[in-house]
Amino acid sequence: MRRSSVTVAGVLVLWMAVAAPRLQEQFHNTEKAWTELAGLSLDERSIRFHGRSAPLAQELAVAVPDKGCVLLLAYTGPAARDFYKQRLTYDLYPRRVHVVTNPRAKRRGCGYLAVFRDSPENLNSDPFKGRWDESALNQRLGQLDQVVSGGTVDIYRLR
Amino acid sequence: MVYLGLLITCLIGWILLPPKLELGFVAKLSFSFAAGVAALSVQMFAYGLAGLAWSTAGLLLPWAGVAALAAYRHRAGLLRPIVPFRAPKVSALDVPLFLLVLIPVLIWLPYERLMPMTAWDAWAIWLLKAKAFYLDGNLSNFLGRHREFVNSHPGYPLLVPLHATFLFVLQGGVADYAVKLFSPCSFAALLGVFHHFARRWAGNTVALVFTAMAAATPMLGSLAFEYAGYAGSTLSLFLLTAAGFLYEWYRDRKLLNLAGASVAATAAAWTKNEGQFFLLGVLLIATAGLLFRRQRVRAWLLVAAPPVAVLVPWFLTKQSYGIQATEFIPGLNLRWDLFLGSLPALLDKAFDTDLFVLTFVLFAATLIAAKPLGAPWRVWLLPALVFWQLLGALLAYASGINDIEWWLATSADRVVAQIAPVALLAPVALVSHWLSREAPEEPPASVPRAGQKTKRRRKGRSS
Repeated sequence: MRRSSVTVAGVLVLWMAVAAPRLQEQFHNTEKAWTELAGLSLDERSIRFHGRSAPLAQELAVAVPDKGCVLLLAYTGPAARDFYKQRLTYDLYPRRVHVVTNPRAKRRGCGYLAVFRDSPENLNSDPFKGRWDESALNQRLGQLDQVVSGGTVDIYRLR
Repeated sequence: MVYLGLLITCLIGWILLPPKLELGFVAKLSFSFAAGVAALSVQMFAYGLAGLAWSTAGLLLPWAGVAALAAYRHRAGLLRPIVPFRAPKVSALDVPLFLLVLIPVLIWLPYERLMPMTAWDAWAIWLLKAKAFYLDGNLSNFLGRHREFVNSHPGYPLLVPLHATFLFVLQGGVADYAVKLFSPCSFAALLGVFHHFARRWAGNTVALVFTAMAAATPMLGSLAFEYAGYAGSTLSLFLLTAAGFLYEWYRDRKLLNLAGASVAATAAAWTKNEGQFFLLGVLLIATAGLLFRRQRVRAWLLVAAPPVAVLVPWFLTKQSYGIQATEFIPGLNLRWDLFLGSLPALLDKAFDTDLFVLTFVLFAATLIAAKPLGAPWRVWLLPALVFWQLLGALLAYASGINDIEWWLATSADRVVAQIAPVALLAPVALVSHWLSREAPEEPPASVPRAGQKTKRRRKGRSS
């Protein structure tokens, strides 16, 4: 046998020996995903990975028209705020979405206001950092028409 | 319909590929996918600029015309290599090696199909644009609202979003889960393209060995299946295609290969910003070759036409909307501390065997062994492109536009993965040279008659 062929064969064997543990690990990941996800619908799988942003987006999509704009006052941590902002931008397009953690915040031309409080588990891992003035919020909400209440989010229409 | 759309993508690419390219079935399908994605995205872009509606009929009818024209021009050549069908010659080793290529794909694919679209950039950047273009029915609404989507990088190139929009149009809805299959398809096409070039240079068995190694490289699998919906695998496909064609051109001087390199490098630049730096590298190397060989104007036009036709309108469009041309210009605002600090991080990723197995070990071995083995200078072309691309990444990191630790942690492995197939193709070029040096001279087919010259024919695999 030629030296070049022996070298190539040797490299292949070595390569597969190095790659095998990672392939095996991926095989187990695939097996696990099969066990946990195969029986779920696509929506259920999405909720599993995107957490509360999925029902949040669904409720907002029903209440806010396509050309509308929503200002979401979110009692949530900074990392979660970024995630919700980006996720809702995707899920709710073409609606305009603003996510803020200050209940006094305003956005000109935004016809809807929504109040969202993150779950205690999420807040434990990514605590709220900011000023959340509950009385100012209640005062503000008292002047608005409530559209949706009780689910994941409370949605109001600005007068 | 999305799956049918991926098939249509291949069919459109198929009719665009010149029959002069000698391709087997798998290679032709792979190049067809790449060509189809690029062509459809350019068609979508042109319609968007012209204000034409993106309807199924409006998008597909022109291709029916192109198919008819191609059938008239090439006749049976259009169906090659299906008709006439020739069973590929396979050695006893080829079957197990082919299975070795398939195993990693079969391990990854069910995982990708079970997962919803979870990868951040997939929905935050690439498919957000696709969704926006589809729902708006045009380019202008989203681009006009670009200030709302700063985190989604409206200035990034549009090949992936516009191809995904095409698939949404066929589907009649935003089927993002189905559409993210384009990443595994890009990976499959990448393996086909890799095998094609490797086979041409080093023969089928060596090509299968290296393709099996590429398929079993964890980070390449991760980029295609775990990060499905990202543009990474598609970029990787075009970088590899451009590098392969450029090497072929230096090898056989056929202008078709030079045109292939230019088209593929333009597609890379139309896929991701990293591809624009790569295109520059390809253009520099092509220019050197054109000058050295004193080529005529036609060759220069072949190189220049694809980037001018696709990228100039895109840059002008961005400018007309006031979208930042680039977030940084490589080399400007260069911070040496960041440049030198990023280098070990990139090398660390490249030599991490959990990510790239021995890709860059073999790459380094190629650099060391090229001279002792008396390799021709063109063997250095592929390493030059790898170094160029890594230099581009370092210049990006050295621009300081992001927190460097976060940036490296979230992107370095993917940046290296994009160029890793080219890095793995470099040893193939060297092995091909080594094989041809060791190949015994073939005995004459028959005893020559007196006075008849004996032709010595080398196997067609010299590098």
